[in-house]
Amino acid sequence: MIVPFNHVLVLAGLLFLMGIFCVVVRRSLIMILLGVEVMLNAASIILVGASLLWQNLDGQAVVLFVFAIAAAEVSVGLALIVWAYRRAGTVDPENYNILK
Amino acid sequence: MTIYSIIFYLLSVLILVTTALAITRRNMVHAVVYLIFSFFGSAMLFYLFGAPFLAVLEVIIYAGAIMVLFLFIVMMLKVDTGGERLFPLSQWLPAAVCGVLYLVLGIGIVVSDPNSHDALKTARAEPGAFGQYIFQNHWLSIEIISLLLLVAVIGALLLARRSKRPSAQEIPEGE
Amino acid sequence: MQPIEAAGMLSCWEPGIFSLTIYGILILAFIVSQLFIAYWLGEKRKNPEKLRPYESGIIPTGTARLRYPVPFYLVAIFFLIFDVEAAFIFSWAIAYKALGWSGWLQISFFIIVLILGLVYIWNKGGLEWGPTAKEE
Repeated sequence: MIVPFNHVLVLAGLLFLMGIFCVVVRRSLIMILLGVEVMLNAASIILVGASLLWQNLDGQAVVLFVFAIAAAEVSVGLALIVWAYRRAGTVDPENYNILK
Repeated sequence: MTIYSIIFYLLSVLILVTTALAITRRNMVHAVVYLIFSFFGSAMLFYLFGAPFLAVLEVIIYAGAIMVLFLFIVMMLKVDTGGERLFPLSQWLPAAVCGVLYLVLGIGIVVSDPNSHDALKTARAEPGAFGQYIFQNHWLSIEIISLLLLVAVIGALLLARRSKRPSAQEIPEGE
Repeated sequence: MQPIEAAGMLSCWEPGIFSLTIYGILILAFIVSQLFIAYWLGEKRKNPEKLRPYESGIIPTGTARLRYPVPFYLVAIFFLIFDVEAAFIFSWAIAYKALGWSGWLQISFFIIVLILGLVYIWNKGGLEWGPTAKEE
C-alpha cells in the first residue's frame, strides 16, 4: 500500500498547474520552455502512477516516449531560441512583435 | 500510514517546493538548479512507483542532459532578468482565470473518478521485463521515435548553422 | 509488473538498508561537521580585496558570463539527442536474449537511423569547431 491514487493525481495536477503558471506568466522564452518541461514531467508522473494502479506496463512505455519527445522538443526549441536571440537580441516574447 | 506513504508525501513536498522555487526565481541559473532537484525527486518517485529503469532515465536524460543544456543556453545568452517584473498584472488575470478553471475541473475529475480511491499496491517492473515489453508491444513507436530524433538532429543543426554568419557581424563579441 | 510483499521491505532494520542508512547518516554528519568547522575557524572579516576571485592576483574584467562559441552548444544538443537514443539501446540491451532476432532487427533499424543522423551532422561540419579548411 502506498497511497490512494487520487493523491498522485493531486500531486501531478499541482505540478502541471505550476508549469502552466510558468508558461503564462514568465516573460522569457527560456522560462517558458522550462514550464513546458515541468508539465511533461507532471504527465509522466501520472502515467507511472496509473501504470502502477492497473499493473500494466503500457504507462511506463509511454513515459519512455515522453522522454524522447521532451528531448527532441528541447533541442529544437533551444536552437530556435538561440536563433531568435541572435536576430533580435532579446528573449522577451513581448519584443517579437515585428512581422518580417 | 506505511513507510511507503511517508516517503511519498516527503517526495511530493520536495518536488512541489523545488518546482515552486524554480518557477519564481528571477535568476535563471537558480531556476534551472532548483528544477534539477525537482527532477531528482521525480526520479525517486518513479522508483517508489516500481519503475527503476525510468528512474535512472529520468536522472540521465532530464537532470543530466536537458537541464545541462538549459544551463548552457542560460550561460550563453547574456540575458539580464533584473528588470523583469515577475508578475505583471496584464498576465496575472488570464493566468489566474485559467488556473482557477483548471483547478475546479481537476478537483471535479479527481473526486468523481471511481477508480481514484483505489490504493496503489507496491510492485516493480524489472528493467529486463520492461525492455522486453516495449520491444514486443511498442516496437513501431520506437522506430518512429528514431525518425523523430533524426529530424531533431537535422533541425537543430540547420537552425544553429544558419545563425552563424550574421551573428558575427550584427552582435559585437564580448562585453 | 511483479507485486512486492511490502512487509518491512524498506524498513531501516533490514540488513541491506540498515548499513546504507548508517552510511548515509555518517556521510551527512561528516559533511555538516566539515562545513561547520570551516565556518567556525575561518576568517570572517570581509573587504573587497579579500572577495576578489584571485586574491593578490590579476584583476578580473568583464562578467563571468562568457559567450561560448556556437559549436559548443550544438555539441550539447547532439549529446542530448544521442543520450536519448542510448536510453533506447539500453532498454534493448537489458533484454536482448529474450527478444531474439526480431528485437535485433528492430534495434538495427533504430541504430541505422541514428548513424544516418551522425553521418549527416559529420558531413555538414556540425562537430567541428575552430578554424577548418572548409570555412576558408
